[in-house]
Amino acid sequence: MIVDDKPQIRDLLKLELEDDGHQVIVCQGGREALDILEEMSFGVNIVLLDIKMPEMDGLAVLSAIKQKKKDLPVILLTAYHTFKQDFQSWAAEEYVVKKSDFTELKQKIAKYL
Amino acid sequence: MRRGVSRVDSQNWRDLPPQGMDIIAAVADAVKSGRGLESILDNIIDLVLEIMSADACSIWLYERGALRLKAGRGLNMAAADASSIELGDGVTGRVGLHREPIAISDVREDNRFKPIPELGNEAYMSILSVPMTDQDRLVGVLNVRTVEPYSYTETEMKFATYIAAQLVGAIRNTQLYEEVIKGFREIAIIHLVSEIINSVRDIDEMTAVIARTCAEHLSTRGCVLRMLDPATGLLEIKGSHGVPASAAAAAALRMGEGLAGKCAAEKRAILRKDLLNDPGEFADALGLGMKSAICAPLVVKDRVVGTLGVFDKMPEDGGEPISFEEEDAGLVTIIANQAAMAIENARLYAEKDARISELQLLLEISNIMRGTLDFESLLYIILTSVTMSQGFGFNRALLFLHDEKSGTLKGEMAVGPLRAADASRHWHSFTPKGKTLQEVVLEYGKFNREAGFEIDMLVKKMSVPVKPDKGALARTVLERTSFNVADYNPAEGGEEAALTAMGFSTFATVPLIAREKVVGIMVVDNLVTRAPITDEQLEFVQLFANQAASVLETSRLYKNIEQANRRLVDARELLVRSRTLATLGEFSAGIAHELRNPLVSIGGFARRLARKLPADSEEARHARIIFNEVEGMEKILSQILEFVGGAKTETQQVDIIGVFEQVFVLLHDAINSKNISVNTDFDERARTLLVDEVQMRQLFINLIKNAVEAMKGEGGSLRVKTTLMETEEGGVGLEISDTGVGISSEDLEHVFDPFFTRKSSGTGLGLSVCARIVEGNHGGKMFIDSRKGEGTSVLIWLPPETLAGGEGGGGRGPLSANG
Ligand SMILES: Nc1ncnc2c1ncn2[C@@H]1O[C@H](COP(=O)(O)OP(=O)(O)O)[C@@H](O)[C@H]1O
Ligand SMILES: [Mg+2]
Repeated sequence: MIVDDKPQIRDLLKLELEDDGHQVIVCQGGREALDILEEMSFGVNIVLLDIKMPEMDGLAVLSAIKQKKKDLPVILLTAYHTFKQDFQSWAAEEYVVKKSDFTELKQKIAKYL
Repeated sequence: MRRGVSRVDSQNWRDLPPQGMDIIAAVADAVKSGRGLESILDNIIDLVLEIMSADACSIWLYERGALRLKAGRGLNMAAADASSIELGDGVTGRVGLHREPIAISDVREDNRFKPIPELGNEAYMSILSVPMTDQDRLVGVLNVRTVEPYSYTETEMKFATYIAAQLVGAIRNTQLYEEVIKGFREIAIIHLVSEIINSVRDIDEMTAVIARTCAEHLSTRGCVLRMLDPATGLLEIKGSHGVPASAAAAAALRMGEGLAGKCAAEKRAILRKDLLNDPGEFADALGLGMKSAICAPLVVKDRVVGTLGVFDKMPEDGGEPISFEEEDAGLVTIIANQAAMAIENARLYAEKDARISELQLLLEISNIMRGTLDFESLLYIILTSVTMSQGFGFNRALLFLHDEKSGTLKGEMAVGPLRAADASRHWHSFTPKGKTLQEVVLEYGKFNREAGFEIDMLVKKMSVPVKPDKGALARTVLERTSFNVADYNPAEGGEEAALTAMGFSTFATVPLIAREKVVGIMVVDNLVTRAPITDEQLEFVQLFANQAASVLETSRLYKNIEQANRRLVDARELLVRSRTLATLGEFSAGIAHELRNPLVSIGGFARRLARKLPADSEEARHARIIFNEVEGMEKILSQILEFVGGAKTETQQVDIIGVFEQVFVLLHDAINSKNISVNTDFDERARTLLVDEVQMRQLFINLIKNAVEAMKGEGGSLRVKTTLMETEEGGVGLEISDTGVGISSEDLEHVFDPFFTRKSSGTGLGLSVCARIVEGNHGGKMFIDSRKGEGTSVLIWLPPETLAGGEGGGGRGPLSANG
């Protein structure tokens, strides 16, 4: 599942991941993501979550997800390098700095699937 | 009215701690921008009014036993000169007395407040009053007032206290500066006068020259030199300036008669500031209507031989004469001493013609001393002059400096052999033939220093308390006079026992007195030749000691000023740098974020295109160009965000040498391909440091990359060195040097500026990041030393706190980034 408010990024990520043979659900915000997870949790193996979103902050979404499904892996997407230290105190499994080169992201996803 | 309850909130310094950078900058500007104390005070007051949005502000300085209004806004300053506050009186007086701040929101409800109607200070309801103190000394009081009642916050009190501290510093600096300038002037005058005086040999000509020079250089209306005729007991005028010849011929005085007579009888200088209203014993024997006068005795070997008097100081810009002050009297006394010596000398000279006069020697030495302001060199010249045979010819000399604060004499420098047996070995290898005194002083000094190495070490360890009942050294300070000591036997194990160990048993002590203060003492002896020290010799050394002391004191003041200036410059540079960083930070964090996402989609889609299109097609090539460019932009973006940082500095025990080694592995290819030789010199004692590992790695990568990039072509060498600093400050030094292209001096001023680069593919952020890591996050310092075409050394100093004390790290750095 991809959660990001920017449609271009959503589309790009979806295409890239589908190329690798994954099934992808896209959501444009935290609320929608939480609703979908509630209804059809069985299908979701990993969540890629943008941190900076207008409607609901990525970190709030993260904590809501972790409250309900502790074991569902989440990868945070950020614009900042320096989130690294703080990231350790959050419950996400991984964090990746957004880059046009998706190699790192793909490697991390592979670790959990 | 601008204020209300939320006054502080509306100010831009709300979020800053009281030491917030902007405010510090503004205060530093205010302190620096001033020309003279008055304008500094005015600047500070403006700043306080603005930042605290107060309605009135005043600065009271403690002078002549009371607090006096020196600067203010919102008060009737026309009445400032007339108003003074006694300690303990009213709010300001209380703050001055107890040195504790007082804040009152409404003075109508507080009986401590006392209105001063002529200043109009009752127009304000609130008052915040904070003391200005320099260590234990009260300097003054700073008051802030508002028209409406107002309760001052903790932050505002802190801010006012901070300002008060800054004011103290500014005042201290200005005073010091003025003192030094004055000191220079005095020395210059004394020197000039003594030079002129000593250029003449004939006694009659000399007395005339003394009177003229003295009048001219002290800018007085006139000068009168009287000599005591031993036969008649009369003080006769032997030289004068600004006095009609007829008057000069007639007006001889008896001892005790008139100003000159009294001065001669009492053997002390007399100053009369206002002869018209307070003539005292003065009798206007010359009928010149003098307004103010100074008379100093001419003393030779404790005997009064005459007097030197000046009258009516003329202001530089012409106009009416002004009154003499105490410092003029000091100057006249010194010149009188020189004159007495010169006259005595001329007498001696008339008797035995051709021997090199002592005074000339003194003069020559003082010339050499005037050549430098470096404290160490001066000490060195002084001791050398005292010990060399062309000088005073003592065998050995010790110099102690007097630390008034701790009340001790501290051993500072020594020359001469430790044992009599060592002497010949050293002295023989030195031949002063055919050298000028200056050459001899410098050369002999260096030489003697080596010879006196052992004794120098011993004396540096000495610290002698200046207390009554203590030994000969303490007495020299307390009684301000020289002593001729024989068979001295200080208490065993006492502070002076080292004297015995060095073989000082028959010796002389001489105080170094400048501006009424004993700045130190000298101890001299004749260990080798065993020649007795005569009283005349001692008297002569004392004369020299006074000159030496005043030069030393000037040099010390000068050094203080220099240090203060350097600190100010350092602080400013740091400030400017951090301000640039802060602005850049906010700015680029915003932009970087906006750019990150579009770049991801541009680059990501281009990458897809390149992959999907036939690999050798033109379109695929274009797509590749796009994503390559994007990748470059993303790299810059990462650097900017890294630079902006914002992350906390997390210190822990880090193996710094290990980090260096890791970095060498990372940059191995670049280093090897250019055939660069790497030279490391690690100090094991500084292996484990309390620092942020990620940042250290970043620091070394940036610096070593710069070094490698600077070495064009093949070869070159890279040197990395770490040292545990042995200086007083301690800490750790890191040095990365290369033999690359170097940096021109114009560029050197800018290399720390963000975005400054001379490379086609550089970002110009490397060094800015480094400076932030070292100075901002680790409380260290960073310097670059470079010469165009020769190479570059980057020097980093980390404070002693970074030396891991054994406990584990965690926690924040000594200074954390504030985001
Ligand atoms: N070791 C060095 N030798 C010569 N020039 C240097 C060295 N280090 C830095 N410089 C100069 O300082 C500039 C700024 O350096 P830096 O801030 O690291 O940015 P960049 O390396 O991206 O240009 C460089 O472009 C170069 O001109
Ligand atoms: Mg660089």
